[in-house]
Amino acid sequence: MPNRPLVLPILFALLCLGIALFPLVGDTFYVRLVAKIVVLAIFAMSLDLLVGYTGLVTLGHAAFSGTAGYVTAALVNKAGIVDLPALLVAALGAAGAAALVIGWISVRTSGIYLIMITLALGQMVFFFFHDVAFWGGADGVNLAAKPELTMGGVTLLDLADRMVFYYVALACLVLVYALLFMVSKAPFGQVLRGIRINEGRTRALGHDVQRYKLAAFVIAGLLAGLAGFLEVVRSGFISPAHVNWHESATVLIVVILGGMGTLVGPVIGAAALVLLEDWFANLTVHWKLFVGLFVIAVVLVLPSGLIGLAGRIGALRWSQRLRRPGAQSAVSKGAEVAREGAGDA
Amino acid sequence: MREPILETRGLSRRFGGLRAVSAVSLSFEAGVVHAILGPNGAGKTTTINLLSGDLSPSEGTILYKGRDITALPVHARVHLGIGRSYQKTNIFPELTCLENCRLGAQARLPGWLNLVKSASHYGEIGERAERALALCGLEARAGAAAGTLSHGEKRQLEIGMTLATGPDLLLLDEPLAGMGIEESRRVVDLLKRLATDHTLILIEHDMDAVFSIAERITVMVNGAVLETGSVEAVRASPAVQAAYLGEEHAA
Repeated sequence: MPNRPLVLPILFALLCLGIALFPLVGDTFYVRLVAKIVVLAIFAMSLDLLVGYTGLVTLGHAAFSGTAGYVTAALVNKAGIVDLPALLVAALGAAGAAALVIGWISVRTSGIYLIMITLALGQMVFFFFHDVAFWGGADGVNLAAKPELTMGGVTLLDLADRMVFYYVALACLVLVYALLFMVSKAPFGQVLRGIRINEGRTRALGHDVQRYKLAAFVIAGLLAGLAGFLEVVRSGFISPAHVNWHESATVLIVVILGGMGTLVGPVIGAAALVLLEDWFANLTVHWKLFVGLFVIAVVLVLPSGLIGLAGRIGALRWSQRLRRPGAQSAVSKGAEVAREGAGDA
Repeated sequence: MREPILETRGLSRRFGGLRAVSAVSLSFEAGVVHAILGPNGAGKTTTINLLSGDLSPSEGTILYKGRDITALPVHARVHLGIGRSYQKTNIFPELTCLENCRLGAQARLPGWLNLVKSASHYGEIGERAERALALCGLEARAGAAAGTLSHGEKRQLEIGMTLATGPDLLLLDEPLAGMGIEESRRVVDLLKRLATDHTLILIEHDMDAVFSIAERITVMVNGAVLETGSVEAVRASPAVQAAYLGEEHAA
């Protein structure tokens, strides 16, 4: 949406406002569910940098979040460290290092081979945590204590408090959004967009695309690490399932469901997936089947994801107000604009 | 003879058993428009791809301003001032013309990890992109999506994007491909303007255009150089007349 570039940031601001105010009205169960959504949204936004902005479809993103989660759990449980900054640096550092190594190998490939190699490397990370006894084995481990931020003997943030965690997670969501928005507008992000649209020409214009892809991998890995850290703190538990490729596939589905390359889409996708899972799980034991059907329906009807729905509704209202014989074409044109806009911002 | 800006020594490229380019040794003088002619399959585009770095040679070396650039990748050659355009239009259709050029202009930013400041706040990117757009004659189309341009305009943009990278040497692969008479004339004028402060190496099938722009001509056949020299010398060469130009240019 070149003429309405602020639509997506405004949508994001409204969503955050809603999340910030929700604990005032929602009951505890749903507040916990929203916290889960926020963490998943951060995870999905980090993947959006690769999938939506750079056009790198990967299937190993859980390796980064899982590594951060396991490092956090080990430091808390085995070393007794609960200092929030120290844990964050260690968790993000481990995730970033994993992204550097996996990215360095993966950016040499593209398309289906990139999917396959990230899947393979991700599964190696999975088996590392699954098979090495130090990490706690197949059943996973509980987090013995929650991180806290203390300064001069005063506890400023205690993540054991659910409301503190809720707002810390929300602050992280806003920060990650702002960071990725900034990066996407910066020359770096413009090159990533160039790589997505036409990699060969981007190289011919003087950009070392390999290096850009690797940097995108590391940034995405660091932010996935933040999500992994928050997830282990939120649930108080980490197991190899958090590193498994199912987790990578889920976050990819969240990005596609919400709308790739929009940053807001992954937030909407996370909300849709978590809420639908909760809703269908209450109705039937076959809830996964219905979630799957929903995802298929969205992909078929809304190729630009749920965020395209907002564009379509907007276009419909606009054309009805015009009440002209050409209204029908205005609808499809509006939807097209929304779709392009979703890909553009 | 003027200073050579680009030299090749024994440049060869094989694809399996096929020698697409074999033992090409050429010298391109700075500030001169040098056309490469030849029938289809003569190895012209492969030669351009070797010079730009899109392909690496099987044998031979490439010297640019006296420096061996044989092993340098495409992007590094762009930073040295070698720009190329493609025979088949190779642009960013979803982006505006100005954005297409901005991506080229950005290549000359110092450093690459520019993560913070918005690209639109880099004055030098905008200026360089606008200059390139003006030079290729698309000022009025700056805001149009590149995919919506006419064929001729896309060809102009193709050159404009390359100009935005600030090249000294332009490698142009059939800049007039598929153009009408009016569009061709516009691009020929553009090439003449560029020739005043750039070195141009171009492949082109439009003979009238070639003879009106080029100062030196190389004729390639089957991957090898058949003849190279001034326009007059090449036109007069019996070997060239027999192999390529045919009767109509023989007079």
